[in-house]
Amino acid sequence: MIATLVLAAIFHVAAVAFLPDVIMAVVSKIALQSSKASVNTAIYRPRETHDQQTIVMPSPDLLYTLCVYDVSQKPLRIEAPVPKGTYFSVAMYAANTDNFFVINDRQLERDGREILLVHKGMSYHGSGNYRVVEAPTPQGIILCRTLITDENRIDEMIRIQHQVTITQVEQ
Amino acid sequence: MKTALKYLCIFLVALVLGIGSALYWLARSPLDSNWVRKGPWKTNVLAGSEQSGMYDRARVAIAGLLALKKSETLYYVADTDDSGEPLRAICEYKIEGKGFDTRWWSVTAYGSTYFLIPNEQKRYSFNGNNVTRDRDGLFRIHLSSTPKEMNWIPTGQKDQKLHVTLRLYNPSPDIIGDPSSADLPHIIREVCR
Repeated sequence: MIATLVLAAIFHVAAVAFLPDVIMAVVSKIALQSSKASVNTAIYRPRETHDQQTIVMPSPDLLYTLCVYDVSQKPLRIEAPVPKGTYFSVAMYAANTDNFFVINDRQLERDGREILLVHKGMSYHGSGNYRVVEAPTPQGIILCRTLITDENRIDEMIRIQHQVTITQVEQ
Repeated sequence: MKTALKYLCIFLVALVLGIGSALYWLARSPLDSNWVRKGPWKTNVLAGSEQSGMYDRARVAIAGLLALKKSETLYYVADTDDSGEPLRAICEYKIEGKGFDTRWWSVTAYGSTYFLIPNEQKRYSFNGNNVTRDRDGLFRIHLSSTPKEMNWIPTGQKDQKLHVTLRLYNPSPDIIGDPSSADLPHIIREVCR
């Protein structure tokens, strides 16, 4: 009886602790498969509708650009636009769903448009005018949000969405 | 053989108990101090944060994956109306409010699985830019399966639970400091089928 309860407690904790990692892994796989994209590339999602949704509780007022990253070998360079008259942000999530970094259009305008994502503890070479962000886990997701401020400006918003570039950096 | 069968039984019972209790606990309404409640709305102030505990992190992964930290966005979620009754697609609701001290806001309705509700109009939300206000300055967003004149979010013909999310992007420092200080809208049940 005691052995069963102890083992049940271990399964309980393991299920709760690893559920976010499992969900992130499944969502990453679905996002890559549905867009036929590869890791470390930008996926420019169409506007979220009931027949175009991958992640729970999507906002139909935003255009999402998603990237499933793996910085275990090489850093990633993210170049973001600084659009006028709308909200834009770059958010980075660890494998356990933690939002370890976010920057919006106002901060990008002030601090620069380029970000270098490296794995924590990774040694990297290079010089440039970019902000270095350390990912706590080698795998995770980058999510950029572009706000659709006006239905009549949707083409302009899509152009802004496509100005996000994500590329691996050769060491 | 008997011993092996006994260990297998212990393993299986423990597995069902462990996973079952985890799912039950995650589905329960959270009561800990990381959640701020006001009327029908609740928000987890540590959503997306590295300081989040394992239960909150798991809950956010299920019902709000890829949430931003509260310094960037606050997510208020409602599963009930003002009277505490669960939101259901067979009922009609009016979401009534003034507006918020924030850069941008939106109100979005979701079905029981936390996905957008299918509808021909592809209308799922209203925000500070496209909501129509009445003469008294208030906005009134209608959740209903039948058409409404203004600010209508169709909830479909299928009977299911509804979830409503209010997003405040770049809220004021006062709201970040005290999320309950936001002037949150009322959710008023009007009629049920």
